[in-house]
Amino acid sequence: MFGGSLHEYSEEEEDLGKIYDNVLMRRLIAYLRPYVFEVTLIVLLTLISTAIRLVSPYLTKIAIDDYIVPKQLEGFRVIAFYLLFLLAVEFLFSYLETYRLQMMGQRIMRDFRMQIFTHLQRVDMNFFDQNPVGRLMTRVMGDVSALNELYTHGIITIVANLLSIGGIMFMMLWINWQLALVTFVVLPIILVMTTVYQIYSRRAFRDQRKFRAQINAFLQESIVGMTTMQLFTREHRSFEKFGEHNLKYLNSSIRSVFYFSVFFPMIEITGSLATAVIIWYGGGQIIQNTLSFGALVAFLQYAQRLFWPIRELSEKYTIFQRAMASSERVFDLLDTQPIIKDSAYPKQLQTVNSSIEFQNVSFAYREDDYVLNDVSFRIEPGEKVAIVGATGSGKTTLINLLCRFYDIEKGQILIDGLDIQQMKLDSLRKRIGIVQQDIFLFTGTIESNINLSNTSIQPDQVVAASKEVYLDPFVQNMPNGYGSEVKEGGSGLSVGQKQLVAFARALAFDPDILILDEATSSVDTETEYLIQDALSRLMSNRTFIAIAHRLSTIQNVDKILVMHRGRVHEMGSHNQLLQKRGLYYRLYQLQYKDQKI
Amino acid sequence: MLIGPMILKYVVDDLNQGRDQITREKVLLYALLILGVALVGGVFRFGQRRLIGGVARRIEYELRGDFFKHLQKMQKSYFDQMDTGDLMSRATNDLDAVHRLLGFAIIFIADATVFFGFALVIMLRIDVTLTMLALIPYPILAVLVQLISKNLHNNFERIQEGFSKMNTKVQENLSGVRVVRAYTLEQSEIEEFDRQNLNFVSLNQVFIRLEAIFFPIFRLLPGIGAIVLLWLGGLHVMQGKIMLGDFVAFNAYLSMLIRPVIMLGFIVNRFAQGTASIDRINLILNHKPEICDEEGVDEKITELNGEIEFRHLTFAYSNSSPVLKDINLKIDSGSTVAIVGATGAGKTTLVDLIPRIYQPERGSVFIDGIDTRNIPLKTLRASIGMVQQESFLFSDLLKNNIAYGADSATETEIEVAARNAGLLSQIDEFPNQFDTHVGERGKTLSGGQRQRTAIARAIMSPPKILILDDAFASVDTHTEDTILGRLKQLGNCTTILISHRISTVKAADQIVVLHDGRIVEVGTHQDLVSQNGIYANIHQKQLLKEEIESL
Ligand SMILES: Nc1ncnc2c1ncn2[C@@H]1O[C@H](COP(=O)(O)OP(=O)(O)OP(=O)(O)O)[C@@H](O)[C@H]1O
Ligand SMILES: Nc1ncnc2c1ncn2[C@@H]1O[C@H](COP(=O)(O)OP(=O)(O)OP(=O)(O)O)[C@@H](O)[C@H]1O
Ligand SMILES: [Mg+2]
Ligand SMILES: [Mg+2]
Repeated sequence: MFGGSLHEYSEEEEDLGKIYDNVLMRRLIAYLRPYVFEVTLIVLLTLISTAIRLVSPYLTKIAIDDYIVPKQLEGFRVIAFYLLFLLAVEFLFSYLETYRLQMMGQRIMRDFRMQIFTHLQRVDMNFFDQNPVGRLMTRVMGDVSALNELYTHGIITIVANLLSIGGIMFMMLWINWQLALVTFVVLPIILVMTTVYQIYSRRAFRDQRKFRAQINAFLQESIVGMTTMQLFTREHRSFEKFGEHNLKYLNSSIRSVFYFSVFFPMIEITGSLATAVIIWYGGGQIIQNTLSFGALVAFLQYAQRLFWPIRELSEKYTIFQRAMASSERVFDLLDTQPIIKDSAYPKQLQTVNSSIEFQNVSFAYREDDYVLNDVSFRIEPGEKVAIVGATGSGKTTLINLLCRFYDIEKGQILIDGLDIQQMKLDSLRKRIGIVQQDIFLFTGTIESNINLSNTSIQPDQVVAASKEVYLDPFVQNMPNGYGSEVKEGGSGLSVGQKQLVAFARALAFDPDILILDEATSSVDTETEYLIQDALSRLMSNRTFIAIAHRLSTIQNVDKILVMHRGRVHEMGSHNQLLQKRGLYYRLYQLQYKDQKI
Repeated sequence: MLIGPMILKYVVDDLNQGRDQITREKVLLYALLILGVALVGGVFRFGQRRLIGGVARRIEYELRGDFFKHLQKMQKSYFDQMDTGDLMSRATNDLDAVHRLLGFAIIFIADATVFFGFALVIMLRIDVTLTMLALIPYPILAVLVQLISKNLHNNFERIQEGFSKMNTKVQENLSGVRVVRAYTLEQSEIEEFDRQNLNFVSLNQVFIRLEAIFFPIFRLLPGIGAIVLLWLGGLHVMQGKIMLGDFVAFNAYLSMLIRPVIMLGFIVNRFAQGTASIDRINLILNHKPEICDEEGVDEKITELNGEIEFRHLTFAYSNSSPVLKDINLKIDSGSTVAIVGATGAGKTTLVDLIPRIYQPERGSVFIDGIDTRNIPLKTLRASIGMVQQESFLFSDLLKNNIAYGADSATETEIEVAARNAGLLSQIDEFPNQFDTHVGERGKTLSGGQRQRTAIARAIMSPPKILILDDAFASVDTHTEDTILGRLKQLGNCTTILISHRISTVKAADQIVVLHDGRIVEVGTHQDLVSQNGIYANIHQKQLLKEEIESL
């Protein structure tokens, strides 16, 4: 389900979910392992309260048969006290049981959420290209809730229900086996009804889930893109589209309401059938003197209590089915192994020179659609390099590969002579500071966006980094300075300011290799020049790579790499390239043609 | 259902009165009667469930639609403050709680009151004192319910908040995955998420504790009632005050009360949850949209010419100092104006006020001499093609993204727009051409491809006013040149360009320099260069730089 073609983006293929799957179930049960004690306790509590519920009708029978009918006052009080005692015990136990059970459910959910979240921190980047955020959120939050039901109302309750049913049947048989057997005639009827109900409701239920996922994905995207929608006056259109999803969901829900409205009254009618049978047959037995009044009353009570667990059991169907579907998707996610991970025997870099070498690197995001072709170049330690080239020529891709967001199949990327695939991932990434083309700010403060809540970065380092990129004056102007709030996506800051924040962030982390991918594209020229001066001082001993379209920003570099259609087209210093009169020369001319007066 | 115990009473009385009173036929008749009554009740119940269940679903449907429609009307400043994850969780998680309240609760309330009412009447007719005694626990129950349900309500609200927070965290972590990875924040993100998780568990703990007491109480108190009845009723029977049949029937009624009472527990709980959630949803719905067609809108305006004027425009984002101060500027229809200025000078703010993404004061922004607040929003925005500084693409096919604003677009029209935006040469290299899926927010396109898609989208149906807010930041100069040339040929449209590149803005009819929220220089390139101000300074710098380089 994960992976697959991009065209299936919003379609969540779902077949009729299984109700029971051994492999899944075994994995689900495994999550109970840390809670063995809890489970045992809960089962015990359940056993006891079930037993109590079984005993009270019997006590009522005794009260009627042995005391009320024969008008026997002695001992009657004791029975009443027993009943009261049992009631109190049941109260206590069911409190404990519910509390323990629900808390266990919450803890298991936390385990699940943490496991999925942790896993999502490891999966490959192209996984995120293929799975929209909305869908992944459904995994972490929605599916996990469905699993909760399995643990709190599923597995253990089923045990309890089965026990109740068994116990009640036993009691009935024990009191009067003939009447019991006659009463049990209704059981197959219930079985058939439940099965039929499940067949129909399952389908409606699956549709419901599918449409709901669609609604959520649509809603999520609409919220994020609301301004765009408003600017294009698409309100009506997109409401219609939303309405379509919504209506589909409504129709499938109404269908399930229908099945539900048929099924439950039928179960109740069947319950009355049992009562009728008891009265008819039991009445006959009383006439023949083979049954007592008390037994009849107890029977009627038992019959009522028999139907509850059966009815609940039929609801478990839905819970199981939902849990199976959810767990399948969750395990599917957990089973997608990252390709990009620490090698088994990671090598530690001894040097900190940071030379970078690409050797015959070819790369495709999607199969066979090569974005980079046989790219080779070398950046010496401490060298300042610029990458230029037309849109889509693969500049950002080079950076993505260097940070090992994606793995290459052909060629090698080496830092100080060591293949990056043999390095530890975080030691690789910690050496690289990168300002990405798409700026992302977190909800928080300006400060937390620069130090990323890393306590080892002191406040004065944050300020120093901000000063280097000329962000500081803006921050000083804000009412709360570095503590000023940053909202989702950095709204409240101008785009240039956001870039400066991201820039300050990269500097604050003091990397060996600094990469700027259009880092100042929305920053004014004045500031840009100032930053460049600062950079040439800061970067004196470090390797530095800049990607830029504004050629004015890259003229201080030692070497320029001109990308063209996924290949390194030219490489050399500014003057060399100008003399070469190639692609760079043409780009340069275009940009400055008017200024050469 | 209710008549069942009545019949039971007769059965028991008959049985009790003597073996000769009762025959097998009579027993059978009673049995059939019970069944018949159940059948009728069942049909009734089916109708009721279907009706109420359907209505609940329909209300949910309407509510979801309203929620969406409402959000559509909200202005950007509102979304600036709200977290997407939070809004989402209200639209999903909270709406669920509301639907559960509507569906089940209403059914059960109806059931429970009918049951309770009838059973009560019949019980009272059998024996008043017994009834009173058996009902003693119920007022206690009512008080307890009051107490606990208020707590449940408040706690549930807190839980939903906690859920929203987790939701937001996940959403942000996943959206910012590239930053998380680049800065190896995985571990700290995991820790942070776990903190929220633990917090959520402990929020739930309080709620669960309440719930765990709550439900058993609904069994405990009626159970006590039943025991009181068994005890006193039993005594009554022994003393011959009531018949055994009455006693049995009474017992049956009381045990029938237990279920609705337990149900009532459910309802109260659902109610607490549902109302907490309704509160959370209403909080959103009650926010009035600020930017809409107000009084004084002239509905007759359906077309605009594209002459823009700012008169003494001053603007501040909510409760902060003004970002734009006393802006006066006239832009002739069909002319090109370039806005330059330092980061944070207010360029984006200025152009955002034209299509009323943010709300300008009355009497400060005019198009064709009409206050924009008197122009129908739809007309206003339909006349404007805008490429925002951070453009948003939908996770859809490339062609659908380009044709987003057009009601119907032919393949050729899409192709023309793509060509004019300089996108065609790129598309030719995509294996799926126009059918390429661009991924969420367009993330499988390069930065420049994304911007050009946004440009193509804006010029798909030629607008009267074209606003390009730094739309070439990720586009190489060569391509930019070509695009600008093509846009000129688009026809008579007022163009506003924001850029940091002199080469982009040079050719404009008018160049406006914004500094700290004020217009400090206006004029053509030549004018400004000779004015020796900010613009000239930037220009000089670039020239200087260039001279050094060409040495
Ligand atoms: N995640 C992705 N999945 C699939 N294709 C991608 C992905 N990212 C980029 N591409 C494609 O790879 C090619 C190179 O993209 P890249 O982002 O490297 O370009 P770029 O040189 O950085 O361009 P720009 O100057 O516009 O930023 C483009 O054609 C783009 O559509
Ligand atoms: N939504 C907002 N809420 C509050 N303040 C804002 C908001 N958007 C921008 N600002 C502030 O208003 C000022 C002007 O921002 P604006 O986005 O107009 O700048 P700009 O000239 O477009 O800058 P840039 O060149 O970086 O895009 C900035 O100081 C910014 O911090
Ligand atoms: Mg790029
Ligand atoms: Mg801006």
